[in-house]
Amino acid sequence: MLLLGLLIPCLCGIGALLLLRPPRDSLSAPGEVAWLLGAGSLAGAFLLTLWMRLLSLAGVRFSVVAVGVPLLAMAAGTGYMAWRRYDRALFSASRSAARALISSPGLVGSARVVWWVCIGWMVLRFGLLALEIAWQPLYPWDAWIQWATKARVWYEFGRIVPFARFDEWYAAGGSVYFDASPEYPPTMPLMQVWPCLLLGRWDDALMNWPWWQIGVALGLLVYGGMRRLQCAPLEALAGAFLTCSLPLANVHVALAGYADLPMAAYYTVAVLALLRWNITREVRDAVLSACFALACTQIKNPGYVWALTLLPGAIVAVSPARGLRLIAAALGVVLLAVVVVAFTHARIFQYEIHLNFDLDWNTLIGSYFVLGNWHLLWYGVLGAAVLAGRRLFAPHMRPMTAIVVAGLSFIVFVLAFTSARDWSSEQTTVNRATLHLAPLMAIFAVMAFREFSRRWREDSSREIGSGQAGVALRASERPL
Amino acid sequence: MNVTLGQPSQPLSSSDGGNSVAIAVAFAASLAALVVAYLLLAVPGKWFPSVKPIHFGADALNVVTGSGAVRQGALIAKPPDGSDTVIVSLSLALRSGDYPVISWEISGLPAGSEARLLWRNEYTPDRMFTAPIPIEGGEIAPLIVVKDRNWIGQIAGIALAVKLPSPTAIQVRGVYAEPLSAGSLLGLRAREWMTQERWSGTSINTVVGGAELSGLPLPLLLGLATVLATGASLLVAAVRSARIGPAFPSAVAAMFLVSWTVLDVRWQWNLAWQARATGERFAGKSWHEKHLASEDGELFAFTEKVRAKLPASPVRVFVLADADYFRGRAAYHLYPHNVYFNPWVVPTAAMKPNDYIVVFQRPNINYDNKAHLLSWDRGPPVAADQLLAEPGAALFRIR
Repeated sequence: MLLLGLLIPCLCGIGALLLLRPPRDSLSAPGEVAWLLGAGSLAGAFLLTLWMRLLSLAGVRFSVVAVGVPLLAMAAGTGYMAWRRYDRALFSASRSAARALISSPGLVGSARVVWWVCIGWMVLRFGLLALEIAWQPLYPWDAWIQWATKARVWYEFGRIVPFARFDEWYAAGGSVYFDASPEYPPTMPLMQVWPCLLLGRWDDALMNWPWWQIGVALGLLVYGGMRRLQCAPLEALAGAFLTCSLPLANVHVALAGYADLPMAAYYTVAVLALLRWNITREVRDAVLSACFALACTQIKNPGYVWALTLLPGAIVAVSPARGLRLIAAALGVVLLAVVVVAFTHARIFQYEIHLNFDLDWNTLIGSYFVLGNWHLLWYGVLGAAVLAGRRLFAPHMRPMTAIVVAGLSFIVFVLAFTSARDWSSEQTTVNRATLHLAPLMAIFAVMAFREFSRRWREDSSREIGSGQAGVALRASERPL
Repeated sequence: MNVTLGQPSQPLSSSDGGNSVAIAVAFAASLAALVVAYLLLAVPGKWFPSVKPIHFGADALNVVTGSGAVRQGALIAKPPDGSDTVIVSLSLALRSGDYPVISWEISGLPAGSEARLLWRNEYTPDRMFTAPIPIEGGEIAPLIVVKDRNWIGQIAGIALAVKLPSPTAIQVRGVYAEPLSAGSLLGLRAREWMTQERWSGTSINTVVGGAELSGLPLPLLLGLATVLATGASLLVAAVRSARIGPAFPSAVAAMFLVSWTVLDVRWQWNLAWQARATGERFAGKSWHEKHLASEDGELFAFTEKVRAKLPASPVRVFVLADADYFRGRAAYHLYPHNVYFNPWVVPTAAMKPNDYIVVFQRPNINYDNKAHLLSWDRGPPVAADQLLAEPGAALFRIR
C-alpha cells in the first residue's frame, strides 16, 4: 500500500510532463525517459502538496481517498492522453531506455565496464540508503524541531493548522501551534503526511521515503537532463554519478527530514529545464523551468533567492550579446541595494545583514577541500573551470556559467555578510547551504571539462591534419 | 582504462596509451611527493628508528580507580559505585623520545565516552600530566603524545582514565608504546582514513570522511595529487614541447574519477557499516519500539506516560527542561498537543487553568504538595496539581 501510494504522485508528475512536452519530440531521444522519470517524480511530489493545500483550504480532511483518488485519476487521465498522443512509442521508448541501461548506449570495451560498474554502484548506494530510511526514526535536529512538528500536527488534524511565533501563539490561546520555524513553507511536512496517511498511522521513519525518492529522482534527472543538453552518455552518467555519490547529499537521504536535499533537487531541475530551453526555445521548457523555480520558493525560504539566480541565465540566453552587460548593471544595482539594506541592519527571513565582510575562510576551505563532505567536487569545479577558460563564455555555456556565478555569489554573500556566518564557523550552515548548489556544480564541472576536452580535440585534430602525429604543446598555444 | 569524456567518436592517436601511462605516472609521482613532504613535516626524528614497539599485556595493568579482574587476556574494569570514571595504570620506564605514540587496546566503549592519557615524567615526578585521547567509532585512537611538551625525559608511569556515560565495564587488552617511524605514522593516517564515522548530531552538517582531526585528510591528499599531476603534465609538456595526444583530457578525467572512486569506496563501506549498526538497533521494531531504543528512549517512555495522563483532545503544554535537546525532543514527542518549548522564556503569566507543565531534568523546580503550588527559579508560584512524578521528571496541571 505504502509503495503503491508513493508511486501515485510520481505517475501524476510524469503524466503532466508527458503532456507538457512538444508532441513532435521523440520519446526515444537521448535521456528523455530518464528525464521524465526524474523530473516527473519531482513535479508529482510538488503537485501532491499543492493538492493537499487546496484540500485544506476547502476544509476537506486529509485521507487516502481525498488525497490519493484525485491524484490517481489525474495520473490515469494524463496517462490516457499520453497514450493517445504517443501510442506505442510510450512502450518502445521505455523498452529502449531499459535496454540502454543494460547494454550501455554506444559504449564498447572498458567504457562499457565503467558504465555497468557505475550503475551497479549507485544501485547499491540507494539500497543502503533505503535501509536507513526503513529503519531510522527521525533523527536530525531541525527535522524534529521545525519540520516534522508540522507534519505530526497536520496528520493528526487532517488539515493545515497554522504555526506562529510566541506572541501570536500566546494571543491565539490554543488555535495556533508553536515550533522553531513557524514561517517555513508547508511543502516538506505535507510530503511526510502523505506516507502516514497511506500507513494509517504516524510513523516518523517510514514517512521519510519521499527523501529517498527525491535522491533517486535527482540522479535520473541529472542523467536525462544532461543527455538532453547533448552530453555524451558517459558524460551524463559521470554527472549523475558525481551527484549521487556526494556524501552530504547521501546523509540527507539517510538522515532524512531536512529540506536541503529537496531544495537542491528542485533547483537543479529548474536550471536544467532552463538550459534545455536555451537550446529548444520552446515556451514549454521555459514554463517548466518557471514551475520548478516556483517550487523552490515553496521548499525553503532561501528558495526565493535560488529562484532569482536563474534570472542571469535567462537574461544571457535571451540576449547573448547584451546579456552580460545587463547582468553587470543588475549586479551593480543589487550591490547598491545591499549596501543600503546593510546600513539599516535589515533582517531578511531570519538572517540579519551587516556590511561587514567576515568570511570564515578556514571553515570554508576545510569544508570544501579537506573534509569528506563533497569528495573532490570543488577540486573538479575549480580545475574544470580553469581548464575550460574562455569556453565557459561560449554562447551555449553562457547561461550555465551565469547561473553558477550567481549561485556562488549568493552562498558567499550569505556566509560573508549575514548572521549565518556565525553558524558557518561551527560548520552547521556552510555545507547545508552549499548542498543546494552542489548537484548543479557537479553538472557544471562535467560540462566545463567537456568544453576543455572539445577544445583540446579540435586543436589536436587541426595539428594532426597539418601532418603532426601528436600535439606539440606550447604555453602560448594553449592558454589555460 | 579508456574513459572518454567529450566527443566519443574521435579516433585515438598512437600516443593515447602513452598519455594514460604518463598521467598515471604523474599521479603516482604527485602522490608520492605529497606523502614525502608530509613525512618531512610530521616525523620529528628518524624515519626508520631502531627501537621496536613494546607491548604490555593486561596482566601488567592495575585498576587505580574502580575495580577489575583479568579474564581471558583482558582486564575487565568498571568504575567504583557512584562514579562514572575508571582509571587503569601501568608502571614502566620509557624514554619519551623513543616512544612518542601510546596505543591502548580497549573495547566496549559506549558512545559518549571520554578518555585521557595520564603520565609522570622524571623532571616533575609529583605532577600528573594529561592529554585527551580521541575516540573514533567506539575505539580509542593511538595518541601521538610527542607534541606535548611534558612528554619529556624518562616516563615513570602512564595511566588511562575513561569517563563513561553510564557505569559499565570496559575491556583493556593491553597497551603499546611505539616509536614514530615514517611507516607507523602512515599506518596511523591510514587507520584514520578507515575509521568508521557513525551517525551523530553533527552528521547532517558535516561528513568528516574518517577520523576527526586527521593529520592528513584523504580528500586533501587525493585532490592535491590530482591537481598536481594535471598541472605538472601540462607544465612539462609546455616547457619541453613534449607531445600530448588528443586523449589527454580523457586521461585526466579518468585520474579524477579514480581518485573520486577511492573516496567513494571508503564512503560506501562506511554507509554499509552504519546501515548494519542502524539495523541492529532498529530493524524489526515498531515505530514505538524504535523510539524506545533511541538515545532519548528514557524521555520517550516518560512522554508516553504523560500522554496517557493528558486529555485525548490537544491541550496546551509547557515543557521545562534545562537542555535544548530534551526540551525540543519532549515537545516533539508530545505533538499534536499544543506544545511550547521556547528556551529563553518561561512565561508564567501566559499559563492558564488546565494548561499542563512537563518537567524533565530541570533543577530549581519546587512543588509544595500540600499547598499545590509550583514554582521555579524563585519566580512567583503557580497553583498546580501534580499528575505524574518520576525521578527528575514530572507532569503538572495548572489550576
